[in-house]
Amino acid sequence: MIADKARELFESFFAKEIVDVSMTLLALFVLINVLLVSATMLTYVERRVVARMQNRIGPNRVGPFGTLQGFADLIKLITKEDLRPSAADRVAFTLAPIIGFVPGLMIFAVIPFHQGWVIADLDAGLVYVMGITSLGTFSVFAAGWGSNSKYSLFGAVRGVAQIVSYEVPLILAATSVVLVAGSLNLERIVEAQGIPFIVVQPLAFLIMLIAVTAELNRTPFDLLEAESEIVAGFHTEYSGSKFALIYGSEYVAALGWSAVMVTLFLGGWKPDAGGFLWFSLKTFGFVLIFFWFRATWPRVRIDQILGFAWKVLFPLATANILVTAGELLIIQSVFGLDPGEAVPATGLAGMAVVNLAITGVVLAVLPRLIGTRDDEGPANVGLAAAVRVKG
Amino acid sequence: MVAVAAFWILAASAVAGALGVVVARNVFYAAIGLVVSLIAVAGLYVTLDADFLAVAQFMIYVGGIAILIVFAVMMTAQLRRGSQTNRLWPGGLAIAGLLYLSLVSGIMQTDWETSSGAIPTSPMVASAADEGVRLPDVLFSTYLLPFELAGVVLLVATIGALVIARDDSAPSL
Repeated sequence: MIADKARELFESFFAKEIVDVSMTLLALFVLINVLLVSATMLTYVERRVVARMQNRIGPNRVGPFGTLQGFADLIKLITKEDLRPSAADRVAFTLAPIIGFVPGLMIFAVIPFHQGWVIADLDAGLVYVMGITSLGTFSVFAAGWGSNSKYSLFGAVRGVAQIVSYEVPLILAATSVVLVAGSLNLERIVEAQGIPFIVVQPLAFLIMLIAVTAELNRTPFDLLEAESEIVAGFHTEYSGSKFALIYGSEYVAALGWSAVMVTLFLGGWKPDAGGFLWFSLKTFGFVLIFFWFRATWPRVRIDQILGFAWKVLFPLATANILVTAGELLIIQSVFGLDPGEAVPATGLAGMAVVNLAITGVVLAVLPRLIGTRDDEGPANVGLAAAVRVKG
Repeated sequence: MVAVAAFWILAASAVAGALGVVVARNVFYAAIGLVVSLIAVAGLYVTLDADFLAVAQFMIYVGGIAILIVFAVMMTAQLRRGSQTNRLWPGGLAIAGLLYLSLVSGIMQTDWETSSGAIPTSPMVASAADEGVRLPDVLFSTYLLPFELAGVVLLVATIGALVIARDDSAPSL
C-alpha cells in the first residue's frame, strides 16, 4: 500500500503524533476535493441522464460532450453578486447554506472505502451518520425562516415535517441491519455481509431507499421546492454562491447517503476486487438510482408523503425488526452463537429466503391495502396522482 | 495537552451557547445557541471516551429535540420581538436559584472518583467497544423499570399531542 510506505518514510523524520494528524488531514483534503468535484460533475450527469431518459439531449456544448457544464455553472454562480433580501435575517440567511453543506461531507468520515480505509473508525458509526444528517433539517429551516418570504417558509415547513417523519422509518430500517450485523461500526457491518444485506434484508432496503429519497428531498418527495406551487421553496431567495452551496449540498448529500446505502446493503468494498474503486463505482451507481427516480415519477402531495411515512413505512419497519429479531433468535440457537456474534453464511442464506418471500408478499398485498380510493389512503402515489392532476 | 485544549474550547462553547439561549431576544438565535451548547456537550463526552453517549446525545438532542424546538419556534408569530421575561419572573428566578443551589451542592458533595488508570466501568462511560455489548444488558435488566416508564411517558405524550392537534372538522389524511 502506498499509504503505508509514505507513513514509514514520514515516521523516520517526524514524531508519530504529527504523522498521524497530518495523514488524517491529507486524507480529509483529498476526500473533500474529490467530493466537491464529484458533486459538480454529478449536476452535469444528472441533466444528461434525465435528458436521455426523457428523450432529450441535455447539455452538450461546454467541453467534450458538455462535461464541463457543471464547472461553467459553478463559476457563473460564484461570480454573481451576493444578494440578500433586505428583510431577511442576516445570520440565519448566511448560516443556512453552510450548515446544509457540512453534514453530507461529514458522513464520509465514517465510511469505510476499503478494509481499514476509514478516517474515523467510530464504533457507533451508524448512529453518528443518523445524528449528523439531522443537521440538514436545521439548514432547511434556517433558510426558509431566514429568507422572510412566505414561499420560503412554506417550503421549510414542508421540509422539516417531511424529514422528521422519514427519519423514523430510516432509523428503524437501519436497526434491522444492525441486528443482523451485530455492530454499529460500518466496517464491521460490511465484514458481516457474507451475503449482501440487500438480499438478506430486502424489505429494510426498500424502506430505507424510500426514506433516504425523502431525506434528500429528491423527486418524488421534492415538494419543499415544488416549483409549480411555491416558486423554489426554501431557497427561493437564494442566488449566487449561496445558491451554489445549497445546490451542491444536495449532490454531496446524495453521494453520502449512497455510500451509506452501499455500505449497509450492497456489501461495501466486497467482493474484494479493485479496492476502493469498486466501492466508488457502487456509490456512483447508486446515485444514478435517484436520478432515475427523478426522471420517472411525478411529485407527491404533502399529506400523502407524511401519511405514507407514518401509516405504511413505520409499521412495516417495526414489523421487520420483530421478524429479524425472531429469525436471529432461531439462528443463534441453531448455530449456538452468542448475541452480537456474526451470522454464518448459511444462516444468512436461510434468512434471505424467508425475508425475500415476506417482501414478495408485502409488495403484492400492500398496493391493495392502500390508495384504493381516490381521496383516501396515504399512498395514492405515482401514476394515480399524475392522472388525477390531469383529469 | 490536546485533550485539555479541547476541553476548554468545548466547555467555553457550551457555556456561551447556554448563555445565548437565555440572553438572546430572538427566539431563533436562542435555538441556535441551544444547538451549539448541545453539540459542545457531545464533544465533551468524546473527550471522556464515551463515543456512544456522544453520538446518542447528538442524535437525540441535536437531531431530535432541537429540531422540535425549531419547529415550535417556526410557529411562533412574535419571533423577533419576543420577550424573555414576563410578570412571573420573580417566581422563575426563585426556582432557578433553588435549582442552581441544589446542583452546586450536589456537585460539591459527590465523591468524584478520579484516577489516571483505566476508564471506569460504569455502563455510561465505559469505553466504546464495551458499550455495544454492555448497554443493552444493563438497560433491559437493572434499568428495566425506568426504561419502560420512559416508553410509557413517550406514548402518553404522543397520544396527548394527537388529541390536542386533532381537528374533527378537517378531513382526515
